[in-house]
Amino acid sequence: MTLPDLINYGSYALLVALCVPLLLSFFRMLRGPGVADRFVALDMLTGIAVAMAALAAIVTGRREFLDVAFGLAVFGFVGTCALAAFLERKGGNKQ
Amino acid sequence: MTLVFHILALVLVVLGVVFIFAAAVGVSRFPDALQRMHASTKAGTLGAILILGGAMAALGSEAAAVGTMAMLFMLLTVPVAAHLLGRAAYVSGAPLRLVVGTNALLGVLQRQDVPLEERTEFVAYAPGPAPVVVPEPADESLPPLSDVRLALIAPDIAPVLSRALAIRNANKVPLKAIAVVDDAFLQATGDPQGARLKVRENVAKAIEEMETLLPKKRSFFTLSYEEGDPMRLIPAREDLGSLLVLPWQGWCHHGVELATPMATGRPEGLLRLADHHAGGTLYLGRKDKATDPVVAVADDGGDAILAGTEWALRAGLWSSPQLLLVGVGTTARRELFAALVAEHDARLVDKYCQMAAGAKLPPEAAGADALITATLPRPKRADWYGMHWHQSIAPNWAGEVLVVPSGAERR
Repeated sequence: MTLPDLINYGSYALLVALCVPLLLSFFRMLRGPGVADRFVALDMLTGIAVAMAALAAIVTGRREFLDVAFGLAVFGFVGTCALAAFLERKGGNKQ
Repeated sequence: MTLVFHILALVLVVLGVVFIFAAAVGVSRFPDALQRMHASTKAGTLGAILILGGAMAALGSEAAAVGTMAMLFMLLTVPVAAHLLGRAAYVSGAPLRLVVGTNALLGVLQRQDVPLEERTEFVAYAPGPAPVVVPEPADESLPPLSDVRLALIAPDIAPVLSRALAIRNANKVPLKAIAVVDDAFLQATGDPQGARLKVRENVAKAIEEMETLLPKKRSFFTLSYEEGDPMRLIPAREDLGSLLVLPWQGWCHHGVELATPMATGRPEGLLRLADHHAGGTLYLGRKDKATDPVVAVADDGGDAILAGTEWALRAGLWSSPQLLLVGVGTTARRELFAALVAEHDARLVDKYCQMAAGAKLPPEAAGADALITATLPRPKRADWYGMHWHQSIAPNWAGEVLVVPSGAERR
């Protein structure tokens, strides 16, 4: 087995292995218990998605997946900012 | 050279996955939101960046541009997003567990006492046992005077204010002035904006006048100004000990004379305020204050009038009043009232009046200085086609009217 093959299959294995952190974060997002916990878990999910896109780029050899990773990072940033603004405005005002 | 890149790619990818694993374990195991974020934003981002680097190393030069861009972008944005999210979590009152030392953000950021999910109904953060409602034992007498509310109704505020102040000073309870602009009236004029300006001007004048009438030291006094539904804003719906002081005429249009073509009749509810107020409601009269005032009690034979009279005597609404019983006139009732006045600084007038037909009070009682009653005459309009509501109590009535808390509201 050559080194590129190893990288290829190894990345495949790591891609599958990344499902474990993905599930862990996903359950945290489902369980909460707080609104802030869910948002943190969602942020983590986008981070893992970026990593998975990068791994997919290695597995398939197509560099377009790096564009996908970049796009996911952008969306993750915007989404987190929006959710944080929501949490601060809706959750922070004294009634 | 390619070998170096391949080994580098392998190492980076494996290292990145390890970091992401650590981050995910942290996110699922740490006890509160800020600590979870500490895991996800640092270890998670490092993992993602390492894997991106690995992908760049494996794919070669054609992936370098977009890969570097993604890495730089993540390095720049993740701290910003984490900062915003952490700040929002702190401000919204997310619980902080196992925190030691002083809170450095105390006084810098306003923090909610209770997290958002506990303040909204759809998720219970930690469902505790349901609160046990202990039914209070039914009490015959009313609670003592707890606060005096007055409706600031322009233009004639001086009598109401001085009367409320006197009652407040005798009882040392808080005094609350409530100025409300009746939204229904504004809508009924057809020109809400213009009417609002005029009404506000009158209220502002009234508040200025009030400032000159109030004493310098007034920690007991609060003023609230609202625009909306006076029925909701002026009365106290729960507090049986609250006394509401109202003028004998006027309404929350504050003396602004505008036609109201958008409504049938003039929006006005001075007399209906008493229905919404849990405690007693005192309508001022036009008479000057008398010494040893005669207070007519419209005795309908119920408990409410008895308890209400006792409450009024206890609060000292009138100084050494003479009670004139009007109504059912049985000996038993008279005994009850006699026992009542014996406990307070009051007398019972030794004259009995039958309730007259038509007008509420008989001629003998028409000249009294005040009336204690459980019900107001109908219709409950301060001005009914030109007839002032005082006329339906007695011809030329000019005294005060106290509406006692009704029996139905007292459980």
